[in-house]
Formats: sequence, structure tokens, C-alpha cells
Amino acid sequence: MSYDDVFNSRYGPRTARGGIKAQTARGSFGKNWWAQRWVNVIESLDLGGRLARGRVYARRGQVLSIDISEGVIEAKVQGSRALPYSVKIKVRTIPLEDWISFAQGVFNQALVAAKLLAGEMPKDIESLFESKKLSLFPKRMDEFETECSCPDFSNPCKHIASVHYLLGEEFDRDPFLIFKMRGLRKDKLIDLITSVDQVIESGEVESAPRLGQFTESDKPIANRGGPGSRKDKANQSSGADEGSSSSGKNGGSPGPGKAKRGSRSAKKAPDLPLEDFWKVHAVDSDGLLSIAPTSNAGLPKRLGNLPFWRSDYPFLPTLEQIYKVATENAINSLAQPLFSDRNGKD
Amino acid sequence: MYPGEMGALLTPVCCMIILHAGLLNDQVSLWAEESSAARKASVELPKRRGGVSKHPYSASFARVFSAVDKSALPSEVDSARVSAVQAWLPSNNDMPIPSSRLLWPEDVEFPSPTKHSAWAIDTVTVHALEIVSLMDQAERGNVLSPGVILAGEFAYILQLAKFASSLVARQQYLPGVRENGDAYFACWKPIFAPDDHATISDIAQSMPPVVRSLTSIATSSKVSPTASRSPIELVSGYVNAFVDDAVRASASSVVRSIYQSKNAYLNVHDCWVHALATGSGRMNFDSREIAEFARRLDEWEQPLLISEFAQFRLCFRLEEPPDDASAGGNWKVQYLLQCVKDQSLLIPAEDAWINAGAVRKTFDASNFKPREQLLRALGQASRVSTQVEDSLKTKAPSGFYLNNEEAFLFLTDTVQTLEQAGFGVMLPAWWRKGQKSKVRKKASVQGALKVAGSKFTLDAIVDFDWEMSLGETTLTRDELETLAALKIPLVKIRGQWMLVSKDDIQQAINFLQKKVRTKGTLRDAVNMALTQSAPDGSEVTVDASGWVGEFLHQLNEPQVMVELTAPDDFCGILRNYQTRGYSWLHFLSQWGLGACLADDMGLGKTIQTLALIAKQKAEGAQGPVLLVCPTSVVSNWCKEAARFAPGLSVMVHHGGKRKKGDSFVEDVMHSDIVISTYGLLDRDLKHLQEIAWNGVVLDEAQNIKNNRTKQSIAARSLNSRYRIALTGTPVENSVSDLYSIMDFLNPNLLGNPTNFKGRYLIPIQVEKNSQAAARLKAVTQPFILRRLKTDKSIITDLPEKMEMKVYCSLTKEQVTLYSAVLNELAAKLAAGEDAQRGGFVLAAMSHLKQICNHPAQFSGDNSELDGRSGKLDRLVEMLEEILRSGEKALIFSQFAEMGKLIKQQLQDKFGEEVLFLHGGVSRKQRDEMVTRFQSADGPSFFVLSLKAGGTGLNLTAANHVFHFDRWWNPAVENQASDRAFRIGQKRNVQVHKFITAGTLEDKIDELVEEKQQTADFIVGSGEGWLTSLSNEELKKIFSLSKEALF
Repeated sequence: MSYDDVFNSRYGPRTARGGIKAQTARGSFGKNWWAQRWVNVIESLDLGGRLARGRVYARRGQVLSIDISEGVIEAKVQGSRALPYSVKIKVRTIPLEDWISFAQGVFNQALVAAKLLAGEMPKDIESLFESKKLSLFPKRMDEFETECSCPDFSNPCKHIASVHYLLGEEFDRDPFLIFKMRGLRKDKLIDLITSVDQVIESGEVESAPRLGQFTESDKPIANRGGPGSRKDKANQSSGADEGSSSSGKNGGSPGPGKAKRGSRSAKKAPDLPLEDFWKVHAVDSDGLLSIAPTSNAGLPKRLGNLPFWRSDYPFLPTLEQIYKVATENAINSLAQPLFSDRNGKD
Repeated sequence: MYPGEMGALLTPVCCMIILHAGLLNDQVSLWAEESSAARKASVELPKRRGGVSKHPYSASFARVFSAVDKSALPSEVDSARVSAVQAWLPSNNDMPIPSSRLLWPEDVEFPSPTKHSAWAIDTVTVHALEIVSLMDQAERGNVLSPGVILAGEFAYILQLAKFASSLVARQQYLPGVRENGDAYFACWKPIFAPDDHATISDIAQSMPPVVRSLTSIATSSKVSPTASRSPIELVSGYVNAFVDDAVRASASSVVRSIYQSKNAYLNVHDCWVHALATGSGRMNFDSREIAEFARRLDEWEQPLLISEFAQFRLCFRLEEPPDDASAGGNWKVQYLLQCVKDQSLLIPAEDAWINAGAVRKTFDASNFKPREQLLRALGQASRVSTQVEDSLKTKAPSGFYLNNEEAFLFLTDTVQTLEQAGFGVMLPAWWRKGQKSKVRKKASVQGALKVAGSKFTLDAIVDFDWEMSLGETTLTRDELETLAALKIPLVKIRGQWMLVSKDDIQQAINFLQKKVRTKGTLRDAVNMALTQSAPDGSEVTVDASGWVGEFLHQLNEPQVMVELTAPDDFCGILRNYQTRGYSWLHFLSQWGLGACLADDMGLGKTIQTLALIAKQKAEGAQGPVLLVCPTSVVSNWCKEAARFAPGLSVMVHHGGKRKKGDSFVEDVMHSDIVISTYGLLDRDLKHLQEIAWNGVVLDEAQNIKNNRTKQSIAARSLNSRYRIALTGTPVENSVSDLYSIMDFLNPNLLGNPTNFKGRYLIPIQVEKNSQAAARLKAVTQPFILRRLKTDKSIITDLPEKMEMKVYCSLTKEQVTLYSAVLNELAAKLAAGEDAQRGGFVLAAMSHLKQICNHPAQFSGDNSELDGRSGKLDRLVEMLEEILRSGEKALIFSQFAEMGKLIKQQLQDKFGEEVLFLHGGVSRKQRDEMVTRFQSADGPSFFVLSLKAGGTGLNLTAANHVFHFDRWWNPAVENQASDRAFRIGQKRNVQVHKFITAGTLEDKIDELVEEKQQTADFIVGSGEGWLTSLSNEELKKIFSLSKEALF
């Protein structure tokens, strides 16, 4: 019987409003092996009823927020007291030279780099780390430092457990968070595993300074892949990646013209021709409308679920319904209203 | 009776209004110019009141609302949509120059611009979906309702809205969060596919200046207005807003049904989903949480943005096993990088890994990192294909090999997944997306021996002999069995790989086994032959021999049709093409098939139809023919029938005194032709349905182009052996019009509306699928005959100048007025003051002519013009056809007042400038009008008063001449007609002389015709001769005969 159990169990936790809800209703948290590995660490401890309650907390939405940054995870959990408890999990980060050594190991295995770039944790990654005498996953609880502001003397407590479980689900969705937790942000990781190849290929294995530069310059991801029009957006997200609380905003479409918007032209009048002012040139409409929605809601499905979803209604199925109806309506409006209910005029 | 007494019918005439559309604040803003104001403005300079002057002839927002409310906007003025903005318009002398001469008084010289000035105007915002419904009308012409004209830029806006709509249809968008000031908004934002960028820039480049001429007005006059935006900014702003609007509207019902009554939300996600489906999309939640959520959304869509903006994409090419390989020959899937902008630029993965030389230059030029992108793409592809995953175990994979079974799985399963994930896939040409090579059934059809003299109908029984084939290869039953036994349905038959469906093959075997359907009707064979498919949808080739073959051959090639001789008692001479047309109608109707005769105006659809009916009567046809036409041409049909086929008894079923019940049936049974109108088609349907018609003919069949109208439904419900549609408008230009007319002519040929929508309408209209269009053409072509005046074979048949009398009917109002004038005259003559007699007669005569022209000419009160004069309505109908075929026309009237009314009505109806030459026009202006009319892009219609324009001018741009009223002097009329028919005219000229049936116009015309040869006493001396006639004679000429009183 713990302190917490004795004094608080008959009240239970306060109802949390709008907390993070685990997406798995039952069974284990984390489907993929790497997420499972994470969950195993806490399950291997003898925490008794705290584990079960931690799972209940995770599913009921008692966890109000989770913030992952390099080496530290901070969370708020609604317990039985009015003020939510603060949970902090510290994880040892891996030093840069070890990351570089890992990246060199990736070179000869297209699979590892490919899977990582595609947002998946390659199975061979562990052996790769082991061959460099490293470990990506904390193996035992003593590689963590955990703390919670609750009165329970047990550490980990059920609040820590609930955060741990939700993290398992999160790692499932985005394995890069594990790298981040261990001190290497996604953009840096990508730079490392793609560029190291070129460096080795061109015989510049010795040029450590080139590798080192990644610690100094935080190259935004899309500067390398995308055209200029996406630039401001890419900057935002790389800024957000650093865990700052800067308000990431979604600047409308990444479409053309976006880049120019900022530069307010001082001109009052539009630049218009005098001749042919009213003239309309025919636009060739063929090809404008080639429509082939092969699968419903393809774009969001490609991106998958949203992190830390808090609604009772699942995200993708809701979108699928909306996409379906919107497409039907759009196609009907494009086709002539032959079968619409409009009456003829004659 | 005085004009004022008709007051109830008269409504004040509205001035013309031209609607414009501009892009401002990501929405379409409507504004308008008004003609009455422009007239005033042309003499008064606008007042300048500090800041920006008010546009002197722009319409108020209330006026804009009332002009469009019926079609798009809610009928009430919505103040949230209204704003005052400034338009930068071409101007001259402190005066904006109108967009069209339609708005400008004819007697004031049209100004030319010297600079742009800003003018304050009222605008009304329209939402995305409203634009589509407004545009829907714009597609049918530039007139929204009489006098309300859509300016040319609407076509542009339509294009833009369609593009935005297609983004929604193609699901190129994602939900997101937008920050605006302190607030956050949930939004749907477009995600552009590679081709979309090019389209957007094309659209932006062709933006008409007027569309981007609007800027908002700053609240204080000292502050400069918001900066103008470039076309590309305007276009993407609009597209963003449109997509957001359209998806939001669709989302609202979905979200409402999911969340049901739950309106409260406890977390940012529910708040977001709600905001995505409602109003402005504003999110009411803790702003820090929204900011955090927005950040996560950004991360979420990051992978997509990276691949979306890459210049190259991973592409999988399936290559057939080499021919010379032994049984172990394998398929190869080759990895390539494909340039998104130039899809023919393909770089094999082998070269991309090495990334040297020319390949490296190519990649560097587009700032593309092949290794990273290849790895990423392959990593993504490895999720859906274990073969891809396996290939990654090497250092620089370039593809993988597949055996037959794996290739089959790749084609049928993996390919779709890869495509959906955004990868390129290249497959052998024989592979049609997801389609298996179907066993094609071939039916050899043969009819029973034709007994001489006997008649066949579509219900005749014919023999079917079936044969199965795959591709080009005929298969025996044994071969089919072998195919059915194959484990993998990917086979190579005579050097050609194909994917077959085992079910399909099994079905074919069963079909042959049962020997089903060895007998069928000719109707089945025709349907199968034309649609190339069996009723169950399977593909069928029909190979007919004997008379069935001949029949099908004739159906497809009207030129091999046997030409009939004209019916014995036919009083006209059929031109060659008319004989062919009439024989074609006869051929189809004989078989109970429907036909659409869509010849150009003036080629004689009427005479061909009458010849057909007369021929059928001579052949002993059973039952009368129902002819349905617009009211305005009832008289014309009567006259033409009497002239060409006097042997036919004609009954007119129209007007208040028409027959009903038994007496109707009795009259009908004694008639050969029953002429009725579209209005009665529905109203008297019960009576019309009681008759077993031999044929139903719809004249001006575009009246049933909407298959849901009462008229269309009624027309389809009539009981008739054959059906004919006559129209001068090319019906095949609109898929939905074509369907409606075909559904009347040959029910079931194109399937029910739902089938048609899926099979033809959506593929053709929305997906621009040319195969579907070709299929539709093949099915309908045997039933449509359209000849143009310009066809070589027709031109040789036509005289250079054709004169036609066009008989028009009086409206009820005209009849009332006409009778009133006659009664008045009778009373005056009875009173018997001989000295004044001549004056009375001439005055009455003039009034009667005015009434025949238009009640508004008689009353001179500027009242409504539409639907009150048979002649004017007919003129509009005929000119519409002429306008559509891009021809030009002269319209003569002896009355300047009538000319003015005609001009006004034509401008209101067509939204195009109409020239008007009358005695008050100066020589300089006249010359300018002539020059403009003669130029290719000048006005299409020229109204002339007979006196001012009857001589001297050269107006050969016109190939149609209308005499709206008659001078009864052929010499004067011919001289006028010769404005168009003279040296320089390269086309045939058609002269249309309007005559109101049953009135003095009709009777004097008869007199002229009778007496022309013997004397020209009538025509030589104006109308004075009338006064010398006796009361009895006058009565005969002036009174209305039966034909006028339908």
C-alpha cells in the first residue's frame, strides 16, 4: 500500500479536460518493435498497481501535455489534486562523435538510411549501434532520471508511467523522437546519414570539420529539398523543432506567390494596360480538369495520424468522410447540372 | 381603345446593366455599369469630392443585388457583402470609359482612353459556390436575364473557379491552421500537384486587366489604399479561399453528423475539427495550445512538402521478359528518377547513385540531391513492397526481378499502392489501368429471309451466332478451357502479353455451353451494334450479314441511303440534299427509330418534314402526326403545309378555344397533322396521350434540352411509332442537351440518367475523356443529321439568294388591340363622313401595322418588350441561331420607332451591341457604323430603317436579311436586300420576310403575289390605293382571318 493509495485512492484523479488520449483502446502501447522496446523498460520494473493505473491514466486523458526536447521530456499530469503534477524524464544524450561514427556505419546499407529517411526505424539499427558499442534505447531504468511532483514515494509513480506509455505511442508514430530524445534532431540526423556518404565517396573521410559543421549551423530541412517558395515555412518548422515555444503558424498555402506577399509594394495603382483593358483571352481549359481520385483522402492518409490526438472521434476516419463528400460536391458542380433539380426556364 | 388601357400588361423598361467581376481580398467582387446613368454621364462631368470620385455610371449595390439575385445571391441585400472599393479604369477627361458601346449613347462619339483613374464603385462579394451557379448561366451565353449582361471576364473567372473546384475534386488539399493577427483560424488549404503550378501560372498570365483593377479604399482619404497585388498573388489567394470555402461547406454536414448535438469541446483538436466545418473557421481556444498544435501540424505535413517540391520523383518501370529468353525469363522492375516537369526525362537509378557527368549537371541545375531523395523514396516504397525492401540490401539498388506470378501481383496490387503514394509507375502499353483484357463476344447476326413486300420492324427476330476472342485472337472452346485452368491469369497469346479475367473466361465458356440467346430481336442487334456492348455491359462486336447487315450499314452511313422520289401530290421541288434528308427521315421512321434533323437555318427542315409526312400518308400510314413547336411558328407551319402539301389536313391545337375530350379525339382522327405548342404539351398531356400517334415531331427541339422539365417529361410520355426532333442548334455540343433529346428520340439508347451520368457525362464533362466522347458520338451519330450551308455538297444545291416568308402569329394582346382598332374604324365608317374617310382608313392601316409589329410601338409607352409580339419573339429566336453560327444579319423596318425597340430588345437579349441606322444619324456616324459592321469582330446585327438604309450602303458582312415589316413593293425590298447581296458577298444570302398570319399583312401579300404579274397598281403608288376600296373590300383585307385567332 503506497502513500498515494492510502490517502488518495478513494477520491481517484480529478477529471481532466482535453487531455491527450491514447489511441489504443486496449492491449499494449506501441505496435512497432522500437516502441515496444521503450514500453518494456518500464514494464520490467516491479511497479505493481501503478503500471495498470498509469495505463488507465494514459487512456483517460489525464496527461495534459508532453514536451520532448533533447535529453529531457516534460509533462503535466492531472492527478487528484487541483494543480496538475509535473513529470520530468531525463535521458542521457549521445555525443556527436558517436553519432558520426554511427552515420559512417550506415553508408553501406541502403536499407538503414532509406528506412530512417522514410520515418521508420530500421530493424538493423540496433546491431549497428552495438557494433559501435552504443545503444539507442535506454536499456534499464537507471539510464533515466525521473521525477514527479506528486506525493508518492515510489519513483516511477503512476504519473510517470502514464507519460511513459504515451511516449511509446508517440515513438510508434515518429521514431525520430527517439533520436531527438537522445540528442540528435531529425534534420541533423538526415543531414548526417545522407551527406556522410558523399563525403566518404569523394575520399574526404578525414574532413571531420565538415561533419562538425552540423553542430553549429542548423540547416533547415527544406532548404535542401524544396524551392524558395517554401522557405519561410521550412524555417518555421525547423525553428519549432528546437523545442522553442515560438508560435508555429500555418501560413496558408505554400503555393506560388506566397514568397512575394511580405514585400508590400508601395504602388497604389495596379500596373494595367490602357489598350485591351476589357479584353479577355481564351484560356485553354483542356487538362485543367483531369480528375482521378484513385483513393479517398490520399494526402492525409499518406501523412498518417496527428500526434497526441485528444478528441473522442478518430482523426483519419473523420477526414475520410469529409474528403468523400467534398469530392462528390465538387464533381457535381463541375458537371453540368443536367440532373440538378433546377427547373427549366421554358 | 387606347394604349393606356392595356396598363396591366405594361411594366417599366429597365435599363441595361453590365456586370463585372474583379478579384479583391481573395474573393470575387461584382460591380456593374448602367446604361441610363452612362447616357446622363456622357453630358455631365462627375463631381469630384476629395479623395476618389464616385464612378458616374456604376450601379449601386442594391441594383447589383437585384440584377443577380434570382441566379446566385440570396434575394435580400446582405450588408456584409457590400463594400465601396476603387476601380482603376481607362479614363478620358475625368470620365471613365465604358466597357462596351452598349452603354454609350449612339449620338455621342465613343471616347478613347488617355490614362487610368481610380473611381469609387459599389461591390458585392460572391462566394465560391455562388460563382459556380452564376457561371453555370454564363456558359450558356453572356446574358443572365434580359438586360443583365455578364462581361467577358466572367469566362475567365469561371476558368479559375473550375480549376479551384478541380483541386477539391482531386482532393489536393489538407486541413491546417492559419494565423491572422491575434486569432487562429482552421482552414483547408490547397496542396498543388506538380502540374498545378504550371496551370496556375498560365491562368495568372492570362488574367484580363479588368479583373485586377480593384483596390480597396482606405478609411481615411489621406492614407493610400492597400497595395495592389500581382496576378499570381490574386490567383493563389483566390484559389486558397475557394478551396477553403468549398471543403468547409462539405465538411459541415459530416462534422455535424459525427458530433451530433455535442457542441462543446474540451480540447484543441475538437475545437479545430469544429472550426474546420463552420463559418469563419475561427478557433476559440487557449492561444498557446493552438500555437503548439499548429506547430505539430506543420511537422505532420513536412514529409509531403518535401516530396511535393522535389523536381524528380521515383518511378518504377515494369519491363517485359525479353523475347529470346527461355522459360525462366523474368520481368524486371527498373528504378528511375523522373523529372516532374518533363516526364520524358528519366534517369536510371544506376546513374543517379553515381551522380556524375551530365546526370550530375541535371540534378544540380534543379538543386536536387539524388541520393537522399532516392533513399527516402525507396524507404517509403519498401513499406508497400517487400521486393523493394529486399533490393535495398545492396549498396546501390537499381531494381528487382519478378517471375510471372510476382509480376501479376505487382501489376494488380502493388502498382495501385505505389501510385497512390505518389510514385511514378510505367507499365507496358498493353496494360490498361486495372483493366483486364476482356473476352470479346462477337455476334454474327442474320435475319430471316426477307419476303418480298413484307415489312420489318425492330421487333423482327434475328439469329445470333456467337464467337469469343481475346484481343485480335479468336479462341476455341478448348483454348478458353486451357486459359481458365491457368494459375496466373497473365498470359502471352501470339506474342502479346495480356491479363485475363478467369471469371470472364468462365462466363464465356458457360455462355457457349448454354448456347443462350441464339435468337433475338433486331432492336437488340441495333443496340449492341451501336453501343458495342451487351445489356449486361460486356463488350460485343456485331457482325451482321444479309439485310440486317445492310440495315446497320445504312444506319451508320446515311449517304448510302436509297433516295426516295417526292410524294406525288407534293407541291414543292426538293433540292438534292433535301431529298437525301427526307429519305433519311423516312428510313429511320420506318423502323420506328427517332431522328434529329439539325440542318442550318434556311436549309428547309420544314419542307423535308412535310415531305416525309405526305409520303407516309401516301403509303397508308396509320394515325396522325403530332407537331409541337413554339407559339411563334404555328402559323408558319400551317402556311408551309398548305403550300407544299395541300393534301394533308392540318389541325391546330392551340389557343383558348381548342378542342377537348371526345371532340378533340374525333378531330385528331380526321387530321394528318396536329400542330400544338410546347406550353400545351404538359397542360393537355392527358388528351395528347390518348392518341396513338404515327409520329411526334418536335420543332425547335432545344426546348426539351433539360430532361427534367415538364415539357421534356411530357414529350417522352407520348405514345408514338416514331419520333423526330428538328433544331438548328448543334445539340451535340452539350452532352446533357444531347442526352435529353436522344432520350426522347430513342429511349434507352443511352441508358437511364444515372447510367448516363457515370458512363458519359462525368467522363466527358469533368474528366475530358476523349474515348467516352468518341463512344457517345458513335452511338448517337446515326440519329443526327446536321448539314451546314457551307458544306460543299450543300452550297452547290443552294441559290445565291433565297427568299423566304416567315409567318408569325399574333399574341392575345395583339389580337385584342387589332380588333379594337378595327371596331373603331367600323364605327367611324358607319358614321359616314366621306371627306374624312381616306384619313380614317390610312390611320387605321398604320395602327394595324404597328400592332402587328409590337404593341409597344403602337402605344409608344416604352413598356416591356418580351413575349408580346409574335414577330419580335420569332426574330429573337432566329437571330439566336445566326449569332451562334457566327453569322451577321441586317434587319429592316420602315418604322424608326420599331427599329429602336428592336435594337433595345436584341441588346437586352444578347448582351451585344446592335447598330441602328435611322434618318437622324449623321453621315460620318453612318460611315463609321458601316465600317464597324463590316469588320470581322464588329457587331453582328444591324437594324436599319428602310428609308435611311435601303440604298447605297455596302453591307456584305451580313448573309441574312430580315424584313421585319413589309413595304409591299418588291423593288424597294429587293433594293434593301441587295445591301447584303452584292459584289463582295461570298456566301449565300437568305432573305426572311416577316408576315403576321391572318392579318392585313398576310392578305396584302397575297394580293401582291396574285397581281404582281398583271399590274403593279398597288405597289407603285404607296398605300393610297386602299382608300379607294369599298367598305366591303376593306373589311376583307383588314379583318383577322381564322389563322390569326388560334
